[in-house]
Amino acid sequence: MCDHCGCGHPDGAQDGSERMISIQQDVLAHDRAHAERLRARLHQLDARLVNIVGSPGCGKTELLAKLITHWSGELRCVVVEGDLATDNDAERIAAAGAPVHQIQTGTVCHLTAHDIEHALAHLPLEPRTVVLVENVGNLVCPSMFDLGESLRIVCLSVTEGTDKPQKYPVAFREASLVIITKNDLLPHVNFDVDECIRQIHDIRPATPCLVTSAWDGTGLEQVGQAIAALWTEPL
Amino acid sequence: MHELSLAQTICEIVADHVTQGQRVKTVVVDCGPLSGVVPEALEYCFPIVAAATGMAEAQLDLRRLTAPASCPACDAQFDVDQVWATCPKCDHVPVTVVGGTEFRLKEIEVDDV
Repeated sequence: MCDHCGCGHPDGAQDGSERMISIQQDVLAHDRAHAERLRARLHQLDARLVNIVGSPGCGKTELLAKLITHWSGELRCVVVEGDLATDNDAERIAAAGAPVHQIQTGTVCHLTAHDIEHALAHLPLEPRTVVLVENVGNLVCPSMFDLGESLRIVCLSVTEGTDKPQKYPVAFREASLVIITKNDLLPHVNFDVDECIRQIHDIRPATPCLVTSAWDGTGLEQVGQAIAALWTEPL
Repeated sequence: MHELSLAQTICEIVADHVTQGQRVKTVVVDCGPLSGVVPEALEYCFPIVAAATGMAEAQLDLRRLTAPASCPACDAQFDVDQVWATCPKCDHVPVTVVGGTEFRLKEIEVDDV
């Protein structure tokens, strides 16, 4: 019976049928479980995944293309490209010589470990393969999602402004390596490399930072070394 | 704008905890200011996803948490609302943040249909 008017309508019933169910679950636990499984699977195959995050136009694709073209190490590279639309980036990577799979997210602003698991079905995974994932160009949303990576690179170009780390701190908090790109343009823009690195270290002290130029090759060897070092680090 | 997919994940977890004949009335979620979640966007998306997953009457009770921090230089204790923060007492950077990244489905309220 209804407590308010005694009408007997079940919708109004306050007879103690309402109850709380405790859940206490991290909402992203499901995504993290996917990422942990993928990371373990890749390690079992002696492969590693690198998650590359940065704004649209910061030079991620060009950096990847030049890394692949000049790759001198014994590692094999495969690439997963994430964009809202087009397979333009996959074409650039294929032209550079690496097996590549393009994910078109439609309107979704980030990749997930689940997306990567599906993408890897299209790529050859052999021992000592590095899976280079170019995330959707976005310095906000991808920060929240672990893709099963062993290294997260956040890219920032000198044309974007010195204070980018202060403006997008979550991305830099989650970075295990920051790459400052387009260094060849430094004479033409107002960008203070030392101040930018200081801001990065204010957010996360001791984050390694590399200054690169895909155009003239500056720093690419060090990027390759940072990736190769993933095979000497514990899981 | 990843809050739509977060709302979907919340509704999937909720669905795993209700049995046939139960109606979800309230979904309680804890959200820290450093979680990367935009509360207003999640509140906008939730009713749309809830209606599409058969729990149109579910209300989202999004509880905004604080992010406690301390200053390694002067030991001041305070709350911050962003990752990049300075000590309000001595202006030291960086400060030590000890929470605020929570994004947790806490509990749900159900009744019998």
